Order: sequence, then C-alpha cells, then structure tokens
Amino acid sequence: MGAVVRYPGQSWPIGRYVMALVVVGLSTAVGLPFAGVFNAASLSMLYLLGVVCCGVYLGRGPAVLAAVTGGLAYNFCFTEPRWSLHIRGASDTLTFFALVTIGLVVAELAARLRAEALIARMREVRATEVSALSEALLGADSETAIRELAQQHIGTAFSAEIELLVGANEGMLPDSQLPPVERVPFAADVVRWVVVEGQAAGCGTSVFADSQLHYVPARTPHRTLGVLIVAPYDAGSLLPPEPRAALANHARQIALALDRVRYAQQAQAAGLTAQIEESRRALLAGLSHDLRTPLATLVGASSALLSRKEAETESSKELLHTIHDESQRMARLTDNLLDMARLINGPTSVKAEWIPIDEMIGSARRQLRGIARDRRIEVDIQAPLRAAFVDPVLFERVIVNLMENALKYSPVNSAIQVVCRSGGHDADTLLLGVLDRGAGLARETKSRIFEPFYRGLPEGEQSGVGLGLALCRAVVELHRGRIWVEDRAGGGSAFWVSAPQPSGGPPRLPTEVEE
Amino acid sequence: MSEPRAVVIENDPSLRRFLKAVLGGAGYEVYLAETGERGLSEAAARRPDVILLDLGLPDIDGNDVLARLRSWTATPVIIISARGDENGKVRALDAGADDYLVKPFGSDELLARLRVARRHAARTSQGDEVYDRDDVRIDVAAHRVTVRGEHVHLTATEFKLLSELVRASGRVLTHRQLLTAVWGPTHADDTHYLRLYMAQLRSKLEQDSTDPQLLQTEVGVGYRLVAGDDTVSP
Repeated sequence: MGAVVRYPGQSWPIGRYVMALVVVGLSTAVGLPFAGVFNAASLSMLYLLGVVCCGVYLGRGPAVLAAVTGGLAYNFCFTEPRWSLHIRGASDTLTFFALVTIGLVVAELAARLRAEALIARMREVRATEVSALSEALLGADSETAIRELAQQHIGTAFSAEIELLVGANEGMLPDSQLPPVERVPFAADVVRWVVVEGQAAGCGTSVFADSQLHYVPARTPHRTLGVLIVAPYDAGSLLPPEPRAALANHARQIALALDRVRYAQQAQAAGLTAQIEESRRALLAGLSHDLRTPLATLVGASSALLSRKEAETESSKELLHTIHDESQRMARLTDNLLDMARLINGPTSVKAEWIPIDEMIGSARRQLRGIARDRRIEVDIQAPLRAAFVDPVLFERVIVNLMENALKYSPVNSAIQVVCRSGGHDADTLLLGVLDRGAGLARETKSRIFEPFYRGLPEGEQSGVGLGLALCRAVVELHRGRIWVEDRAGGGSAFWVSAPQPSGGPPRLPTEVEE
Repeated sequence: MSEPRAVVIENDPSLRRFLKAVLGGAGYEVYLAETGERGLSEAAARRPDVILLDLGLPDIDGNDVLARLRSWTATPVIIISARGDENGKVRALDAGADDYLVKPFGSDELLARLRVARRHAARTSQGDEVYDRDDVRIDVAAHRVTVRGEHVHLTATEFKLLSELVRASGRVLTHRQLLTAVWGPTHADDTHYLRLYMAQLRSKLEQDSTDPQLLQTEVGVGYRLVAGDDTVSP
C-alpha cells in the first residue's frame, strides 16, 4: 500500500485544459456524422456528457472551459446557420444558452463530486495509515525505527516527505545534534521555536506561515520529545485544518512511542547498573575476607614474638610493636571494607536499642587500644543524658572510625575530645561530637570527605582507603540522622553526628534500696 | 603435672601453624585437626584439657561440632570466629562454649582465655570467692564490695548481677545468660535492662566509666569481668 493518490495530469496542470479541449473536440467529432439524423438540441447532450467527464476527471477549471468551448462549438457546428456563430432560431438560441449555463452548473457539481471523492479516498488512505502506524509504533524499539515508520506511513498518508527530529533527554535539540539537511530542508530556528512553544508552525499556521514545510511538536503532557516536519508535495494540502489535526494526532502517537522507548532504555541501563553494583559488592566482600586471614596470622604472630625473648632489645620491641600496630590497623581497614560491602548490600535493618553512651565509648576505646596508647582522650557526657537509642554494633563502628580519624590526624601531644549532648526541640536528638586539634580541613574537602574512597590528604601520608567516614555516613543515615564537620576555634576539626531519639528517654529502672 | 593438652580444630593452615607455635611455646601438647570430623575424633581420642574450635569450618557447621562435643564432654571449648558473625558467636556461647576469640587476635588474649577456661573447669566447688583486682574487692559471701577500701552501696539486683560476673570471672557471659541468671528465663530478651544496670555498676566501681578496666563490654555478645589478680597475669 504505497501508492500516492494522484490524478491524471497532476504533474502537468496545463495538460488538463488541453484534455478538456480534446474532449470537446471528441464530442464534436461524434456528433457531426449524426447532424442530419438527430436535431441539434439532442446533440447538445454530447457536450454535457463531455462537461461531466471533464468535471469528474479533470477538475473545475477544465470543466468550465469545456462548458464554454462546448457551447461555442455547438453553436458553430450544429445550429442554423451552420459553420457560423450566428443563431437564427429562438429554440436553438435557448438551447445554446441552456447548454452553456447547465454546462457551468454541471461543471461545478462534477468538480465538487470529484473533490469529495478525492477527500474520501484521502481519508481512507490516512485511516489505513493511522492504524498501520499505531500498530507499527507498538513494536518499535528504537528512535531510528520510529523515525522510519513515521516517514513511511505519514509520508504515504499525506503525500509528503517526512523528517522526525528527536531531542536529547530534555527534548531540547542543540544545534549540534540536528541531522544534516537532506531531503527535507528544515530551518533550525523554526525547530527551536516549536520545541520551546510546544505548538505547530509553518504552512497552514499563523507562525512562519510562508514556509513550505509544516512543523508539529511531538509532545507528551510533560515535555517535547521531538519535532515532526512535513514537506508536502502540494503545499496547499495542509491549509485546511483537518489534515493538520490528523498530523497533530500522529505527532502525539510518536511522542508516546518515543517516551516508551526511552523508559525501556532507562530500565535496561538500570539493570546494567544493578549488575555492576552486584559485582562490586561481591568483590568487596571477597577482598575483605581474603585479606583477613593473613592478617589474623600477622597480628597473632607479632604479639607472640612481643611476649618472648625476641623482644628483649629496644629496637626489636619497637619493630614488633610496629608490625602489631600496623596489622591491627589493616584489620580495622578490612573491617570497614566488609561493613561497607554489607551496608551496600542493603537493606540493612537498624536494630536499635537503648544503650548507655559510656558503654559504646568504652568499647570503642578498647578497640583503639594500640593507636590510642599514650594519647589523652577526654570524654564529656552531658547529664542527664545516659543512653542513646541506636543500633549498638553499627553505631560503635561510627564512634571507632571518628575517634581513629581524630587520633590519626592530630599531633601526638594533643588531646581529642568526645562530647555527647542532647539537642533538638524536646531534647529528642542525640548529638555526638569528636573533636581534635589537627590541621583542620579545607572547605572543598569538608563537603566531599564523606564520599567513599575520598581522602583529604595526598596518597601515602596516612594509611587508609577513605572508607571510614563513608561508612559513618551510611550508618548515620540508616538512623535517619546527620553527620557533618566544622572547624574549631583555635584550630582542628569537630565531627558531629546527630540522631533522632524517641521521646521519653530510656526506660526507668525500678527503684531499689541500696545496701 | 603433665603438660596440658589442647585440640585445635582449624581449617586455615597458617592459622593452624600459628596456634601450634603459640600453644606449644606456652607448654601445651597440641593436636591439630583440619576438619570438624577429624576434630571430633581427636577430642575423643586425646581427652584434651581444652579445645579450640573455628566456627567457619568447611565440612560441618561449628555449632554442630559444639553440640556433639557437649553431648559427652564438659571440656572447655573456646570458639574462633570472624568479625561480623555476632549471631554465630552468641549461639555458640549460649549452646555451651566457654569463651570466644575474634580473628585477628593476639597471642596474649588467646593464652589468657585458655587459662581462664581451664581454671573454671578445674574448680571443684562453686564456693563463694573473693575477687580482687586493682583497687576493687568483691566478697560475695560477705556481701561486701569495696573500692579503695571504701564500702560501695549496691542494690540487690546490682549485687546479684555482679556476683554472676564474679562467678564467671575472666569468662564472657552472654546477655541471655546474665538475664536468665539474674531476672529469670522470662526476661531473657530484655537486653536494655541489663545494659542500664551494667552502666550503674560501671559508674559505681570504675574510675572512668567510659574507659572500664574491670567490667568489659563484648559488643553484640555480652559482658566480661576481667580476671582477678589471683589468676596468673596475662
């Protein structure tokens, strides 16, 4: 079904008029032999027949020509006196004028009939193409496929060349993305106007009306996804509103198809992302497990040597301490890796309970035994705050990581402070702060320091892969809290954690008598 | 007295080597097993004084090995676990293991645990003892607790809790074990009560409750009262 509806002589307008004269000539030629047999009035019917044929097949103009020239021919050839344009008899005169008048009327009617038939034909073609396009768009799985379908079906239905410009994600078409102008000579500024205004432009509309092309935006209610450009072979065919409304419909169909294709592509991308995340998770978990076993032996063996004769000289003792401390530091590092892997594995549930704050700080300090040796740690828990409603295992990691950072990045003779307060409107927020007198953080670092694998210092200055703070943030966010860092007056950094607490505080213990 | 015997059930070869070296150096006769099944047969054959059992064995689940051991012997069992396996540790302790170690652990920690476990196993009577450590003295029979000679006033529940810890001094007690012993089996899950009472004990007995020297928290598992001065110091 690819034939474009044409009519004979469409590509040669003058030809239609020539044909009309030929028809008149034919009528004359057929009538002449019978001039003596039938009376002139009867023979005039031949010309009417000719006019009808011209009207139906050739159009209004040629039919009018046929009516007029037919009348004249009839006058010349068949009315007395023959072979002159004079008419003697009254009835012949009447016949002559009637012939011309009726001829003109018939020309008009026949032409209208023809136009109706053409429109009906066109509608049929378009309806067929509409359903064919709808069906085909359902199966389209890419922008290229949609474009080809548009060109094929809409081009056929509207006797036009079609171009479909598809925008980037936001529907706007930067000039660099416009395809080269080939078959359809579209104008970039009209395209831009259509995208911005979301309305049709070009021939048949009031905007850029002198263009030979018609531009329709392909939009969903939210955004414009593309522009459909129609270059009809007959520019006048888009002047009436009906074909333009049909084009707008097609444009909507195309927009829906583009939307669907886009979402399908996003879903595929998401699926790919999920696969990558899965691999990363598995890698992290595997890595940390593999690292832990040699670490266990390192830590154990070094501590054994420390307690033996090998540790007698000061230098051997120092060396062994170093091995032991560093292995423990590596162990904490792999702990962070493993925890991070498990948290990414999410959804990790927070098993919150009321846990005394001094208990959490105490176990954190015990874990940091090696690195906290000879360091001053000042703890300030503001009364009456006694307990926090948090997941003890997860939250303890936060305290360990914050304290480890504070100890690592501040001078050995400086103290670190651990502060605990309640904040918020009804004292329903827990505030935990770890403060140090280190070098502080640059402004840019402060905003990025909680990202995984981000490190404020250049490589090599301190061991670590930059996961500690990312882990803290993940845990704090699981508790629906916040973590941030501030500069301290007098130098150093203050890392703060806030976590919402249930109102009412920890359960009261029954009062008892002390002995 | 002959050398104490230890059976080590551990699948990782370098960890096995290390354990043999440390235990051997501390005067133990060490028997190694790579799998749970072999470990069970070694335990039956050698009649050890202490068993070290890794929870992450390839052939049988560590808890199953423990259950089978406990069905015929009360030999102290110390489990070796990986970090992050809180549930496995607690299950094993509640099922009869005496103590636990988390990889990576130091040799001093290892030997201390073994010592404490053997001491408890050797005790013939559940006699009330006196606990001494640093400046703290707890006399369970006399119902008297002093810190630096000063009498400390405890409530009945606090004292009950403390005496449970003294009874098991040096060993870990899980939340469940403590709650059941002090409050009864119906309260086995009221961990928050236990925590708050432990906080009160810390504030009364420790110099700095945020840096406890006696009443140690085993995160996710339970509590441990550090072994008293009468134990050979680690």
